[in-house]
Amino acid sequence: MAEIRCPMCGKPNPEEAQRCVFCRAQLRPLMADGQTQQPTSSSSGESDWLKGLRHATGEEPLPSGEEDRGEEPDWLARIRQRAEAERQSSEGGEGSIPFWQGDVSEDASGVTGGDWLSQLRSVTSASQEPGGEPSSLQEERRMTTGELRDVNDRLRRIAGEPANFSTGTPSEPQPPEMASPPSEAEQPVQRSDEETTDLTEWLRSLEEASVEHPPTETGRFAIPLEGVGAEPAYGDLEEFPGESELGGPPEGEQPDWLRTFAEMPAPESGETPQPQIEGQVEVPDWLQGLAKEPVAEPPSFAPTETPDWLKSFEEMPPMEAGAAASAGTVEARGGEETPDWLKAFEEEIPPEEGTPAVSEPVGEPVVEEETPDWLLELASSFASEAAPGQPSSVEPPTPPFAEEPSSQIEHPPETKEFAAKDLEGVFQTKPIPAETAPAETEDLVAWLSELGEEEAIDKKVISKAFILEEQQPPSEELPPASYPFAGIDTELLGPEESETPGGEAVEGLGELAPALLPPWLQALRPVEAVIEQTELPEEEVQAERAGPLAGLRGVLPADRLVIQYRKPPIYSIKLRLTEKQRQQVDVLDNLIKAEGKPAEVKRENLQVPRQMLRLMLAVTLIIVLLIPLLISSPSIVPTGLIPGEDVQGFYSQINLLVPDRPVLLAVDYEAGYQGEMRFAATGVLETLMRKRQRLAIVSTVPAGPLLASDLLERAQLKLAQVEPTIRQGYALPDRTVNLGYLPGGLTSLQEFATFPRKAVFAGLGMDLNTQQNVWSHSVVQNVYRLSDFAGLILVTDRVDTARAWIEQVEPALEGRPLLIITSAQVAPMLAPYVNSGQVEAMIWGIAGGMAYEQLAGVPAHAAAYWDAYRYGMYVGFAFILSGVLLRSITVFFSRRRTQNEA
Amino acid sequence: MIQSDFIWTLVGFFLTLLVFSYLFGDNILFRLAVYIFVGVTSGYVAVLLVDQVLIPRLIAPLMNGSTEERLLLIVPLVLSVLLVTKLFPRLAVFGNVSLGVMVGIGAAVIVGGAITGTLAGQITATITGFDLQAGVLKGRDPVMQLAEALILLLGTISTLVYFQFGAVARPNQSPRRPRGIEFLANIGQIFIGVTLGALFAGVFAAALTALIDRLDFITLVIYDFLF
Repeated sequence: MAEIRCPMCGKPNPEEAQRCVFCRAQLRPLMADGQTQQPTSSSSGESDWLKGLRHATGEEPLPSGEEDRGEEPDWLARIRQRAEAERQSSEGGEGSIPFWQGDVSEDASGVTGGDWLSQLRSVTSASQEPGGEPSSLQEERRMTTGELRDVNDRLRRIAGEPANFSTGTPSEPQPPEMASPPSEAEQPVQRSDEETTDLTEWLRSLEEASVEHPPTETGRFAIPLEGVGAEPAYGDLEEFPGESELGGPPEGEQPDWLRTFAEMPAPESGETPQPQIEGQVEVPDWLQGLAKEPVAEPPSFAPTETPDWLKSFEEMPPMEAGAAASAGTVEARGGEETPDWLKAFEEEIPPEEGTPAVSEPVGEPVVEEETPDWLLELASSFASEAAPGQPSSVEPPTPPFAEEPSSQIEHPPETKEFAAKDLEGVFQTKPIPAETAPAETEDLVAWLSELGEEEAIDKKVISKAFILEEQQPPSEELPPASYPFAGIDTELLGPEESETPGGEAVEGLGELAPALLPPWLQALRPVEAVIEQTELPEEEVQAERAGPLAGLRGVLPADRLVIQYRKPPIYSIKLRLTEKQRQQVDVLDNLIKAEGKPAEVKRENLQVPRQMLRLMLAVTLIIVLLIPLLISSPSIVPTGLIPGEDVQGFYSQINLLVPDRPVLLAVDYEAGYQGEMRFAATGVLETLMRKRQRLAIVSTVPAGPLLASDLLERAQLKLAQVEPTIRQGYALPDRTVNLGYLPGGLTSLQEFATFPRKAVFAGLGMDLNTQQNVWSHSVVQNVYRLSDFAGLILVTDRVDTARAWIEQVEPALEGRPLLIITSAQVAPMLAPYVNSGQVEAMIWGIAGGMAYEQLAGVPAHAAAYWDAYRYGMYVGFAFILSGVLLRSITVFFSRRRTQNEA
Repeated sequence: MIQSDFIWTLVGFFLTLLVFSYLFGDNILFRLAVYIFVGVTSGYVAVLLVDQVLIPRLIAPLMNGSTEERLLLIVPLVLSVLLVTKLFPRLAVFGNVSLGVMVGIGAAVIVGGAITGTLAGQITATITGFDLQAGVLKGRDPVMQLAEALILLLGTISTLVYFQFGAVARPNQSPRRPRGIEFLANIGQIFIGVTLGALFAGVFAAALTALIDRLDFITLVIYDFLF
């Protein structure tokens, strides 16, 4: 006989062995064995043993959608399928009816043997009808529970047990309405309690069996191991060693599990589940809660799904179970039916001698509803392989649902490891209080806890990828194939990331070479990628002390910001200047400084002499002027004074004035210039008085009318000294009229030139009560416009006033003469108007008045002051000349002194 | 009458002495005289305006005038009231209307009079200076008239050129006027100097005349007081 040497342990194995008997390693390549490549479950999620069962019964696998829709456990599906197979066989012939069906036909209930099965079949067909109207999950579960109870009752009747535990009367026939599968409408809600009670009793029987067969002796736990390891199909159960002892109908006529029931000794009548009330105390809470919960609740349905076939296994003799528990035997028989995905696990998991075969119950929570079957199978395989030589009775029991393939959660092979990780987390995060967890529950879930521990221990064996928080030292004993990514070139994975907070990379994967970026990609890298990131040691990383981040280190790396934002470098601002530039800078600096300095004012040390000089000049001038005034006589007429052309022209114009028309005398000077104006105008007024010329006085200056009156009075007084009759001949109130003040300046002159009567309302010195209009005066009563005047004599000391009269009034005179008597200071400015012919004649100052007096032959008034004026002019000229000479001499000497000092 | 003249003569005399006190610098006597003049002038002007302007031009027509005269007086009345608001800062804005009317009318009068009365007259006078025949008819020497006209023309042009400040910028030199313009400007500067000298002489002559008048007054008062 040829042998196959195990590539792992090197020990010889039989030729037909798929796995090594010693180390459970895969003896043959997976790809070479097409049978082992078959997935554990089909696409519809059903396992191979279920497929085998269906194949044995001749059924075709239902569509996945239908199976998923049913959400019924496989054991129930198997029951239905079995019932369907039996129904078909019963329809085929009488001889094919199983023996128990004959007993059922003879049952006192009166129900035919196939009635309940037909009802069950109808229900099954209804639930599996693709096109059928989908019922709610609650109702379906309710129906399933009813069916289960019926099946349970019948099975127990077959085994000699009381049919109905709930009623307590085993001999009581099953009511038809209870036995028949109720329809959805007929299913009462009150039945849920009874059904739950039945189920509870059913489970009690299971627990009783477990009590009768301690785990250390019975081989009931070996069955799940077999199922896990070899997927025990019921069609293959006859191959078990204890099969010959069971005997029973021929193969193919009745299922093995039914045969098992048939072979089992009938319990005594008094051996009802009721006396096993102590076992009821050991019912886990979740089962008790399930009994109390309504049937419609889906989560409570899973524990009730403990199949009877499992119970049959529990009742198997320990010797048989122990024999069946032999891993080597099971492997030898069912090795070919082991799913390849499970084999893969088996191959990946090397035998560990140090792994304890019996795991102590850990008080970790177990969520049976969420435990996937593949994980349970994996745990069973681990447990069986961990101690191949030991009896598997110490292994924890596998719940029924753990053996069933998950139709809803079907993990692909590559994600099952992650699911195991999740399950581990579930185990560790949901503790169950010790006082609430019964011992049985601990027994039942011990395998799960053990699984959790084993997985925690063998985490490194399963996959390195699952080790996220725990840092396991690299196991040198592990073969390279134990890693999920073994065989993959580590360079393709890039730099290895540290799996622990400390940043330690997982060793064993080797050093990964950094990726080499092409130049164009390096150019596109962000700046942050180029900047070297310096990792500060942990003690230098600042820990947050306040706020929500208190206790954390390095969450706010301000030091990096400090590194990024540096103080800009300081550059020197010194300039390199040439000598020429430096000189220019000095010049500019001096200029700027000189501008900022205040101008030096020479201190006047001669304050008193200056005032004395001013006083001395004033006194000198006054003395010079007083001497002629005190000495000279008004009778002394100055000689040698030739009147100018202007004075002659003025005199001519005065003589040309029309006597019958009034002369407009405009007196527009201030009181300060009254002396000068009087000297210049007195002779002219005396001439007019001699001619008996009527005068109309008007002024644009407020003081003008009063000054005009004073001027006339002084002229008349002066003339009266020469011609005493003048006072009678020329009465001022009759010959003169003071039109008063013209308010408005230029505008008033414009109005006066245009509408004289509208511009002037009231004359000066006239009673407003009696005066109706100043134009009613005899002097101006015939005057309606300016041309009605004989002429205009303007006496002013200001250029602007003279210009205003010239510009505004002169055109309105319409050829009448405009004569101006002005001050010496204004004469130069008004000379152009005289030259232009706009002003007929002009005399100014004391000189012009004296010249006019001399020319006109009137009493000399200005001549009396001519000497004083002349002397005063001489003294003034001497002062100006002396001042100019003194200043010239001073400047000369100062410059010379400066030159000498320089 | 005589007493009143004597009193007012004494007042005038003392006020004149107070003004002469300025020879010793600014003093309270001089300030007192100045304040008296300002106050008397203001009072006189106020009385004069009431007597010569408000009563005959506004109040009398409103009381005794016809309806048309009264309606026409509304405009100056409103403008006058608005002008009074200039005394109050918050209401001063309303016086801008009156000021606007006054300034506008005054500007128009000034511009019109300056163009027709001064510019046209002076230009005509400058041109007619060269009318030698007219000068001969007036008995003037044509040569002298021509010389006078040329000097007048030169003085006018050079003075106008002097106030022409346009200059040409040259590299490495300060901006300067052209040489021709610079020459005429210098001539105009001479004419301006002569004119200012004449004005100063006139001012001095006017001040000297006023001083003579005041000294004559003082001597007469003293003479009358003593004799």
